[in-house]
Amino acid sequence: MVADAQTIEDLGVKPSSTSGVGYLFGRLRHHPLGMFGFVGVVLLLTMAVFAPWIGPHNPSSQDFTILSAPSLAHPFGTDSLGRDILSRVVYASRVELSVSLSAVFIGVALATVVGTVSGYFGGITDSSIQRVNDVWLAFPGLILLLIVSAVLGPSPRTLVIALVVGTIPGTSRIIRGAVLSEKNNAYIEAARVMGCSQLRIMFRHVLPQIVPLIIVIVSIAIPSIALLGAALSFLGLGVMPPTPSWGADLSGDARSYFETAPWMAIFPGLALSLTVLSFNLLGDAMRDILDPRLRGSAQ
Amino acid sequence: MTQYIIRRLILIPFVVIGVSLVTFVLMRVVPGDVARVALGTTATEQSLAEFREANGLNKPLFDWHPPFGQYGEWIGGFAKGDFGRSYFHGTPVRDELANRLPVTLQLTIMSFFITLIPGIIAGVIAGLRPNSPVDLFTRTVAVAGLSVPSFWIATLFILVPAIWFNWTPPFGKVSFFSDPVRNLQQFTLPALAMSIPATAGIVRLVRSSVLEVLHQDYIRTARAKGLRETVIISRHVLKNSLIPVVTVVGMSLGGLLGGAVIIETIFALPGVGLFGYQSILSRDYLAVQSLVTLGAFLVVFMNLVVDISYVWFDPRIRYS
Repeated sequence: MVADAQTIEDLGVKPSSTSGVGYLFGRLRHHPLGMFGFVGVVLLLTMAVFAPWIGPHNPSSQDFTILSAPSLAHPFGTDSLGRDILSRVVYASRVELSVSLSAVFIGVALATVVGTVSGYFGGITDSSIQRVNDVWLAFPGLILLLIVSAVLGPSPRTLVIALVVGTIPGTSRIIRGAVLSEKNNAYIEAARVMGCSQLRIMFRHVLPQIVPLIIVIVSIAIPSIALLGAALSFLGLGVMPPTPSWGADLSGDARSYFETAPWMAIFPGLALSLTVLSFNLLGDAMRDILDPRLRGSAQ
Repeated sequence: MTQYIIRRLILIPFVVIGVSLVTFVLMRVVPGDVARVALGTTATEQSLAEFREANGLNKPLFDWHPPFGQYGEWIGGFAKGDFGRSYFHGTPVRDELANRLPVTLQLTIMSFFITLIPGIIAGVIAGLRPNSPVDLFTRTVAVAGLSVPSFWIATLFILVPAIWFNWTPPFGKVSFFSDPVRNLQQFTLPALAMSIPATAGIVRLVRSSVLEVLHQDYIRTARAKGLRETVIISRHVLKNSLIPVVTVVGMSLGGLLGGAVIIETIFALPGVGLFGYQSILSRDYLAVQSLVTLGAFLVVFMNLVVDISYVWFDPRIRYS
């Protein structure tokens, strides 16, 4: 009878559910701060998707009442061109979220490929990739991103590219380290003996082992990338006006008129901070849940 | 160990040259005509041509023969301490940098102390009493601090005193030695704005590091041999849990230019960060190349210092 069993479930053994979305969510429910972050992120996504129904006005339409203080008609006031700030804050969530999320996913995916190849093959492949990485990491802070934005001209797409450029070197190095410590395990040798191809070993055997690490990296990267992207927009090298974005809406006129219209400088920043806070809380919870080395230490 | 340091030192020039090459090429593909940006839209064709001739912009970028094109000429001068002339300011880049360095340096030193002292104290207190009210409070404040963008804090720092007290920090820069009061009025808020996210990061780092160290065997040994708790904390916990702080501080000192760009722009402080930002926007090739190359040197050097300092902090670490 045992011989007929096709899978481990047939033997009446439940697969240990230490991974998967259900497990993650189950753990998250016992993590109040993480749950808070999760709810915040869900609200944020809802706001971005249903922006036309939530924002009371068109974010680009101009009213004759410029710089009017918060009122019933304009709960967050209007800006120097008479546009409704609440609507701009709501609509901005679209560009902010799509830029940050796509930059993180593209960046981490590329970094995973680079890091896995570098760590798994070793030798010349590894050292040449790592020397390029050395150069990449040696650029001081924001400067490389500023230059890349200047080369490509400011736009949301440029912003994504610049943020991806900023994500790859550090992340790929972390993943390379994880692959290095994984590849000497016996099961890798077993797979090789069974005649698995290099590609198969890399992506079907090594990669699944580092998936928790990748989830942690993604959830920690989202808030910091969101801040970085907003900073680039603030400096005029990311999303450009008139497209509503929290970063760009905080620069320019918001700073020229801050004495007469402080609401221009307050609400976009508040929205950005709450967004980053939600992602930070969710990211911390993910790390607590998935990184056994840190488990319990930050609870 | 010596061998390890020598090998790392040999790599430094290669990395720095790599950075300078990438910057050189990237800056040349930035769209827009340098001469036009430098001279303005009213410049005649003739003056544009003269400007290009005077600044060697007609020469090939790379060349096999001396002086090896524009890149070779610049990097040759750079190695001798001549960074070339800024197109935009018309002055030697080295003088521009030397004039602006004190601003960024003061900003760095001030935010260094504002970050580290409260950050380490709060982190240690929270880490020693996990899940106590103090710990919960510290962690909440820290995650909030980490979530607030420094450019928004900086904006609020200008906005709030302006509205409540009708006071704005005097813009520009006065040397600390000629007018210390005015100087501190100018630098305190920027340094504070720059420090808030960094402090939050340090608190979290120190807290988790203290927690980890407290669970180590050598702490149990120290307790078992009857050391007083104050000695255990000051001699064993503190020293070991500050190792990751050294890493983060060392690395962030190298990458400091990034934070300086934003804060100096908002407070109109004429430092190196603002200079770099303006130079990129005005396509001031030689200024950007020199600044980035120097910055890269600092980054690589600080990374080496951090790696070496591990050995001093943790004698178990050996490099081969």
